[in-house]
Amino acid sequence: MHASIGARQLEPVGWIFAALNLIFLVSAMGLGIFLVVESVPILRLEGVDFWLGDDWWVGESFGALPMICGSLMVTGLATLLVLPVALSGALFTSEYLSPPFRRRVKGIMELLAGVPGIIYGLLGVSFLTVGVKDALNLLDGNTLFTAGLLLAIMILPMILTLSEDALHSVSSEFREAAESLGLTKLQTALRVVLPQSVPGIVGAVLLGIGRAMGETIAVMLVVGSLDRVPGFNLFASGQTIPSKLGREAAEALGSGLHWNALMALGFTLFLVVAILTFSGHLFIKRNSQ
Amino acid sequence: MAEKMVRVLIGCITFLIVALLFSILGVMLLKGLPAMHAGFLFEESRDFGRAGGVYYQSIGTLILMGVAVLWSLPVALGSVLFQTEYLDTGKLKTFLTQLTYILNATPTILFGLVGYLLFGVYLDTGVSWVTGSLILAVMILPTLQVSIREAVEALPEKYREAGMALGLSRPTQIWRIILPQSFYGIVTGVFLGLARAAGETAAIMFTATTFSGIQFPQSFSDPVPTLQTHILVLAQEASNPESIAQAWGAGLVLLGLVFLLTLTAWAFRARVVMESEL
Amino acid sequence: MIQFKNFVAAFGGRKVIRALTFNLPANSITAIIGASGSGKTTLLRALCRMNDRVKNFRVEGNVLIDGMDIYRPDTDVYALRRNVGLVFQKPCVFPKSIFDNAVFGVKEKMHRKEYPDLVEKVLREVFLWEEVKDRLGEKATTLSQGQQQRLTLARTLAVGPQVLLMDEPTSSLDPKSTAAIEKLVQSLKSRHTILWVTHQHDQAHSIADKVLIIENGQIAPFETPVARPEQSSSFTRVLQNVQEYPE
Repeated sequence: MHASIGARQLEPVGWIFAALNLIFLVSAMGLGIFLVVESVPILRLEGVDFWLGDDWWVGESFGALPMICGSLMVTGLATLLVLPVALSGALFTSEYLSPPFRRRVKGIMELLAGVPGIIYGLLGVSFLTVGVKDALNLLDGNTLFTAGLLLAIMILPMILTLSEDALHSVSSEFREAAESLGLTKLQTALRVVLPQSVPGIVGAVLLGIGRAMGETIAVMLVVGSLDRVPGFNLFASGQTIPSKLGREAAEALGSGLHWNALMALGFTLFLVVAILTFSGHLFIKRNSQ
Repeated sequence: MAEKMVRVLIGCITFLIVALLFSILGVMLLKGLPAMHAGFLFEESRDFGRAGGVYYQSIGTLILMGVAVLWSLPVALGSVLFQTEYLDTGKLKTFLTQLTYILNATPTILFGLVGYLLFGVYLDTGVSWVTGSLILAVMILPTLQVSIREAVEALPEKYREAGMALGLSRPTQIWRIILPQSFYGIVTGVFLGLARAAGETAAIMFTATTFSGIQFPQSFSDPVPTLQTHILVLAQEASNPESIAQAWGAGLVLLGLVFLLTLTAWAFRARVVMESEL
Repeated sequence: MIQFKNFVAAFGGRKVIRALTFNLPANSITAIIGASGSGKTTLLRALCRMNDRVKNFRVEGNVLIDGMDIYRPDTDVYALRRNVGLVFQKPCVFPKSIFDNAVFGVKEKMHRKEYPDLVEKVLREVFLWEEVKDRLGEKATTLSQGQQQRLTLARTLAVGPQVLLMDEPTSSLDPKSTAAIEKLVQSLKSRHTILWVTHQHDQAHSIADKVLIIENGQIAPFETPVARPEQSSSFTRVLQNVQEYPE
């Protein structure tokens, strides 16, 4: 038996590629490690109270609960609003549209997903906040509800296109088999295609939630940026983790605990998004097998 | 009957979703065009952004995205080739792929935070276009990697085998077969990366940019104005109609740039498909 | 001279070649007949170490070419593959010009000025020169399948191999191109050691000096072509080809 088979000799060029790969590895891992290291001081000081505390007073205490609640409410609302719309769109695109039209819809989704967050923010500031204020007769249109609505629009193309991929990947043999048994197109879609693509759709939604969690600019412009635990009132101003980071990071650099507290917020966000992404891709992979 | 109603209903929803893109485009044109007086692109902004054009802002955006791709491309290319050509299938490969996905999904504000600290403070590049381009480079790395990997993996195995049977060494194989055949995929990745970098605000707003006073960067440690942050500042002066009008103009320029880059990427991606069908 | 000594090739626990021991004399054509799945392709690929990157692939025993064990850890696999040329079942030309394809394997090894002479030499060797000499700049993919297969053979010859491995090189070709390739291989015998894998008995017998049969990863000798009473005429061969590959 020769041990050398399968083992690779690396030529100089190979070492260069290995080094470039190391740069990638270090940048990606370094990001997480940096966030952990920089959060240590505040977490050592406050422990679990950092996440449970509801007061954020620079110089006194740093409680992340208002931001955590805000983020959860805003993304929860966005997910609830987007789900029926995105799934309808995905079902129609996958099951009823001809290939050329399907490709066009997918292309439009890619363009929509590429619209910069700042553009959504500008649109949100100019129309959505005013619309929400007038429609609901509020004093201020910068609310958690507004942010959720805007986020729903922003994550729509991503969830739609990924769910559509899942639906479309179901083998057409199943569709034909079902239709040969006399099922209508809709029955086939709902009883044969949809159940088989559940993992892929779950994955799409998880990735969409991850995207919504991290959106900064657009949310920052419409959420009202008020640090308080919102209770269950969606129609009040609030704060999300990224909007808090966006508002305060520039002034906090080098100011000790304040900076550490922001980094701990960032670490919390990173952890949640990483888990969502990891499990999202796991579901999508399971769907394609 | 019910069948037909459901079909019409979800059809209408799909239509509305598609219409969303066109309404965004329409609104941007409607609101942005009035600000686009002759020379909007070639005049500097005056009076704290309330008048003039967006010349230096456009230059700033172009500098940041262009330099970011310059940093990012060799790393993306090298890491993908290392993973596909040198690494055996296995745990490390899966791990690196997962890492790409996670990096891709990481909230962009975190790149700003960590980059600010690492480059701006520890490496002392300060708030500058260099810091910003480095941060954006890491941020768009997954975009480039995914496109390049798709192209490399779409390459039919028979070419690799034919090259191998001729006794080509691995670097020769990469240089003569893999790179030429995945050229369009690489270009696609570059343009998608440019588009992503152009549209990004959160990662650069406190690391690379300044609102006014700076024109063309004179040194490595100068910040630049950008379209993205220009809009951000103006949008927060919602009560001032002149500021908002300028914001729409800058928004239209930015959106046009991003769409143009994406469409260019598509043109190259279409060729990837053609090549792989040879 | 190629020697197999107790040679085993396996994918994980599944042995595809079992304890093979036999010799191939230099400057001769040896044909190996086997059904699909009998291990004949694995045998060829093992001879130029094309399976090194395949997961779980492992070998036992020795393969010696001119007395050198090709699986020794310090073997230069690239030099080995240049010395042992492999021609695939389906011609795989690169989407480049005919000229570029012919010199594809040697571009780094010689000066640009030497290319034209080499191209002419190898294209003449495969009897393709007259057909393509006026359109060397055209894409190789515009050639017919038979021409493409001869071009891949020329591409392999340009590298200067001592051993030529042919993996059913005519199975995707029409009878006329098949006959051309068979004739061509005969002409290469004086300078190369040729191993030809096929599943057509009559083809094996008509071209080879020695015929072996591979079954379940083991090799059995076959009677030499001379011992075979009636040699099928090329006409019946053509018919059989036509029947097997209606095109």
